Amino acid sequence: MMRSTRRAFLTGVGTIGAAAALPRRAFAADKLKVAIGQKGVWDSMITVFGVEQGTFKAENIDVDITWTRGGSETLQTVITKSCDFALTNGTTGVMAAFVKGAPVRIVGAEANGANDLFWYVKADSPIKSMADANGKTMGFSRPGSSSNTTAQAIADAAKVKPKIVPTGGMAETRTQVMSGQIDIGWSAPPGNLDLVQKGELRIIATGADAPELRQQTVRVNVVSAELLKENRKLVERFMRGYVKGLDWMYANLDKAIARYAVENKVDPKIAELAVHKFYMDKKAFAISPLLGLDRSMTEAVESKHLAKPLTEAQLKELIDIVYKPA
Amino acid sequence: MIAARLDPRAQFIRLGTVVALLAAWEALARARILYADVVPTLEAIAVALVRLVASAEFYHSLAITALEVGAGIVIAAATGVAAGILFGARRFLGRAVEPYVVALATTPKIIFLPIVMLMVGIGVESKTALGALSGFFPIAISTMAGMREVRRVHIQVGRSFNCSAAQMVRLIYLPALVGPILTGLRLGLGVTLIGVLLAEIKIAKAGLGFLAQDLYSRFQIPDLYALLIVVFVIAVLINEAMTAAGRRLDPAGARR
Amino acid sequence: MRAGPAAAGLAGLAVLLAATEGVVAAGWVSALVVPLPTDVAVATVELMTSGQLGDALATTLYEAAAASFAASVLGIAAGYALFRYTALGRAYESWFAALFAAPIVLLYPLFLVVFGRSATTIIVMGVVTGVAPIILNTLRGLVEVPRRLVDVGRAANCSPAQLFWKVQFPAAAPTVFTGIRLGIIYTLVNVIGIEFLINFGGLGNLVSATYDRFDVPGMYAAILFIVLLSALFFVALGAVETRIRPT
Repeated sequence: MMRSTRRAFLTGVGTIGAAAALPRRAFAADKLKVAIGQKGVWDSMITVFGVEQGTFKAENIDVDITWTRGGSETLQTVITKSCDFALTNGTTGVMAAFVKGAPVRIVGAEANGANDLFWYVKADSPIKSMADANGKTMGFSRPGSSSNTTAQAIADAAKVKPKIVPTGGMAETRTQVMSGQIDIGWSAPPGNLDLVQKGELRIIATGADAPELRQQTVRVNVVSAELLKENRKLVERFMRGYVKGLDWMYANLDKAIARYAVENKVDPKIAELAVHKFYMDKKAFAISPLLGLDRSMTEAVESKHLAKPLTEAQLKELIDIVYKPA
Repeated sequence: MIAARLDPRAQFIRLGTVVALLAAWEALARARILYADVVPTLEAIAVALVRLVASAEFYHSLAITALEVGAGIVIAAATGVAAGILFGARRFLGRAVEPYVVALATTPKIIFLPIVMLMVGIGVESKTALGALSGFFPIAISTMAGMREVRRVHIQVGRSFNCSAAQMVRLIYLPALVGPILTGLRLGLGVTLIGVLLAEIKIAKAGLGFLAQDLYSRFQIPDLYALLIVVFVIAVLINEAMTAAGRRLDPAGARR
Repeated sequence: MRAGPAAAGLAGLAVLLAATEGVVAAGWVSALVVPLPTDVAVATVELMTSGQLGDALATTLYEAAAASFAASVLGIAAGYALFRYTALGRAYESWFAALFAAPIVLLYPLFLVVFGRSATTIIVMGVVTGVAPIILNTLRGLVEVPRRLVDVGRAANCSPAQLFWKVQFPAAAPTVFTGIRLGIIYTLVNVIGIEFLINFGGLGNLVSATYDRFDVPGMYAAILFIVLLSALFFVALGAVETRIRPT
């Protein structure tokens, strides 16, 4: 009798001990898979800084980043359930996917305005400014991209009619400019800034030259609709960690710039030039409110992303800004 | 195959051609007619070549692509041979399916990449699946054609011994199909490789196609050439190995 | 006799489409991955009326046809040269075999630089990738022409040109056309593949563009047209072959 009681007691203690040793849910970090486009771009690094400076850890979240090449790739990772979050998506793309039934929700703006895009010419080009651009060829990455709409907006603002053509990525575009196939190339920092520094290229326009774009959210952050429904708090925690990452960047600009230089394998001086010229306005990355939705929808209809603008009800379903910083 | 690889005239022509091409290249590189970076000097390419084969990044990319191609071709071979035997043995079924198989065979499979990605995500599996899809058709069609040429006599002998379907496959069909399967495999490998590389260029995080794109976007052109040279050499070596294997295993059909 | 399998094939296809419609409509498979066949039909009409499909089809047809034709002409000519001048043949045959095995498609950024972002680049790449099997098969086809036939031709005092057109080419034709078939496959793969990668029009680009804007029915419609185009090329080639070959 004694023996079996003792055995039962020991078994009981053993079980409780083993259970205590198991990680209990409340204390284990939540794992989130995040897809981000355009590795190396300044605002793509907000999450990187969040991870490296522990802002997500502080929210008990373990973030795993998948880099994509931008475009619809990033959003596709959420649609195919490979990732929980997709950051830096073009607004029109998200609207198009949502309308077709994709289980996605916008949880915040990612970038307002297109300040970080710029257009350049060869140093010896006769084009001195956008005013000279009539009839000249002006490049953008691919149809429907933000470089596409920004190029058009800049041309409209300068009241000129260049031939706006798709030229692909930054490297391709530069090759086409240097070999004379097109007149004006597009770029985003820190790309091509080394050549600008050396005087081989000249910047003739930036996204800031299209003022109405500043009031438009061109990129948004998206979460899977399922995750939002199941675990709203987790989404809120992630967004808090994200905003804290952004805060850190602008509170520690020198360190952030140094890290940004390393990521892009560029000279620290170029990185500094890039950030000081293009990224000093922190408000461009405020996650709330979403700006210029009407303009985005008009563009979406023009580029065939949408058949018609979204209704109020659809917008309400699509946009759910879970966390609004004070 | 024309005989006499040791023909001195042929060797001389080859040597002469190589020298002429290299000289023309170097001249073009120095003349700077095209945008300078695009035709780097031979020295720059050589340096990049050394740098490449010493880099971990290259071997990592090679491993990923090899995995995708390898897994893809294995799946393609298994399904392709099975389908080829099935459609070859059951004539009616074969003829009903043939026009659709041929139509799909001639279609470039890269266009199915978005569908594949929608189904299995954007990772390694999508490249493997696309590779398998690409390789399936040459193998299946080659096997089907091979089935048609299995000698009636052999089939009848098998039937007269009351061979089960499995035995028929193992003892009668497969031995006769070695040649066609190998030919199909060689072609399959070619299109599988292209399919996987195109997919990696379009959407990937790793692999040789991705590396090529990455090098280009960072404008490291000599390194891009170095990568291309290495990839080409590997592809050619594998092709040669398969041709040699084909000749060894099926001398009669090797000229197909 | 022939009608049986064809009818069975069509019936099978119809059943497959109906089943797909049912499965997707019931929600068992997401419409974002496999759209309703009826939606694809609607998307096809929309793409046709907006002109996108017509433009894309015209571009791809032009590029593929130009590339295939150029590859065939160059391939046969080069194959003949390698045959006629045996030293050349021995020197270069294995090189062309190697060219065939190499994934030329990786060179596309460099072709883009040299030829620009235009149809020319795509056509040139189509030619370069499709020409090798044609050269190799022409060479082999000519080499394998039975001596007797050539001797007969020589005995009849044929000039080299007559010998080629009346004896050698017809005898080599089956092998040559096999080479052309193979060449067309590679040409199409590369033409449509490059269209898929760069934004320069064509059906390959239409697939990529519709995918980018999440127009899944439109994407399937574009894919369908590529399948039809590819099949068309082979039917056309078959017709040409029947015309040229005496048997």
